[in-house]
Amino acid sequence: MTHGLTTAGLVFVIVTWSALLIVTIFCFWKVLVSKREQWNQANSEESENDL
Amino acid sequence: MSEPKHRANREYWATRIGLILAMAGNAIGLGNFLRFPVKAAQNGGGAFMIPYFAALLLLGIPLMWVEWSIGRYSGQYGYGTTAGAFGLLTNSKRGATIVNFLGALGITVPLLFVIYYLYIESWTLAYSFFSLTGKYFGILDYDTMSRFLASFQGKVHGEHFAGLATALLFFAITLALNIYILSRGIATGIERLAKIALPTLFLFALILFIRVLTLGTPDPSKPENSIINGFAYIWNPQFSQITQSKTWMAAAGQIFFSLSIGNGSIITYASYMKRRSDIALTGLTTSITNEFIEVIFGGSIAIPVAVAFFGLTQTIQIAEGGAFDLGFVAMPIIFQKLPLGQLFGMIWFLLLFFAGITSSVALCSPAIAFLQQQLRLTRNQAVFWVGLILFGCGLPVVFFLKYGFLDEMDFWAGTFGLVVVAMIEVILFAWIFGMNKGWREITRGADIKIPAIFKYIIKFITPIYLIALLLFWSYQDGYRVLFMIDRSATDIPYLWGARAMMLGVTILFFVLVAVAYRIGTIRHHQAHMQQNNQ
Repeated sequence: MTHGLTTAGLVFVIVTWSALLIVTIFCFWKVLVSKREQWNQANSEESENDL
Repeated sequence: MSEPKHRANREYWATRIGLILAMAGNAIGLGNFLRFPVKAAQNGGGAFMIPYFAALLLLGIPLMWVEWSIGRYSGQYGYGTTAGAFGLLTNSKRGATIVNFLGALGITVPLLFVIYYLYIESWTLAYSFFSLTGKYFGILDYDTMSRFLASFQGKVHGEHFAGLATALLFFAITLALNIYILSRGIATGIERLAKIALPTLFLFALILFIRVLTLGTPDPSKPENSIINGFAYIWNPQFSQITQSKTWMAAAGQIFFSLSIGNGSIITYASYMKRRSDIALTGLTTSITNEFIEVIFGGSIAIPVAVAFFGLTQTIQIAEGGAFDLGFVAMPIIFQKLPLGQLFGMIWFLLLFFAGITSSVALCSPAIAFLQQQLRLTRNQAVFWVGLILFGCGLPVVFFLKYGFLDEMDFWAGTFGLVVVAMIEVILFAWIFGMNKGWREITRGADIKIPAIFKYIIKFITPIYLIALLLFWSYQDGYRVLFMIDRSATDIPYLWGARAMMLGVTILFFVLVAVAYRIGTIRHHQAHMQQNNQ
């Protein structure tokens, strides 16, 4: 029978949720950054072709 | 290597974020919100996270990368399914033929899965409508609400519903929506759905998450019935449970189902990627998005709110009754006790509907891809024929639900079949194709560096984990299901009917693979074999 969230339970919640939040944000940030780099690379290649 | 000419007319994903959302939508389903919290609570609470994340790292993410790689690789050769893709993983012509026929399972398993999954998805749409119109409002005791669901499903007659007309109507609407989306293609159909459904799903989940967290103790005369105790039920760790093998198997099973592995849909979706598109980061992002939704939102809505309104003892009983009891019996009662209950009820069931439809369109995709690419049908023709199969095979699911028809399909297609397909693909990829070539495929165009240890995890740990899972489930359920132990005499003919239908669909696609060989749309790729030998 549970009587409230124990310290251990709270630790599991905080650690799990924090890890998931951090990794999810990191992954989406990396996706956005790599997209910007691809655009920049494609644009610079296009500029070189124009010259 | 010059681009093969059959890629010239191939569909592609329009945007990377669209691909991520579509793949995430494939993974995120009813199980995130109903199955996960029940499994976590029953298998050690917070301590369940240990085997759960171990399974994510050793089974889930590796298999995701394997499936993405097989899909992207086979797409270059005009194959969008395991029938065709598997053959590319071996140099032997005879071996390729054998595994391509085995690969028909990668089409039939998801097709059989979606036949009954669509029916369940239609319940979520129906209950959204019932929430909006207040049809179940006024039913506040558990048994009566159970009978409401049973009446809707046709298990009991003449109570809240005259017959199966309502269920059939919503099944038809759900099927029609799926067909419409699929007929629009990858970029303007599936991807567009993902870009609408996933953010909406996230918003709905967030609303319910905040609503639940702010509920506190709904009945001050019962202080033990609280949201905090609901969280305690899921998260307070019971470390003794993680020494039990069943806990590790439950965690592995949850990861497996949650990430939609082994049903061929990831391979089909990945086949629409360009050759140098990143798999490593995109696959990881998809997986982690699914985990975010499952653990944070899925673990924070249904079970905590059930404890707050029903108390812990009854919630345990509800959880043991299964996901349907939790989602379609307990939750409708709970919404009636909340201010703006009709609105929250509609949001809950629409959340499940969006989670369901993004998965069902993915499950239909292997069969459609096969008919398009290997039998040279147009997309509309392929969608038509798949729709016809879904409708024809879906009707017995609707009419014979009470005889266990759906449960029988759920075991063979939705449980056993998935693990078999996953096992075949990882052994082919890691041991026949070879982990050196496999690693090159996974890391081609990668936007992140994958630790080299995953090379050994994929080759050794993941197959062992899968074999253990298969043996465990066979031991736990296989014998009982195979020999229909404890089934009533009334049910048995219908169970055999379900088996006959599943066998019929499977044989049909074995024949279609043979036709594809005959017309040359599946063939031995000499140039590919020579390249593999270099």
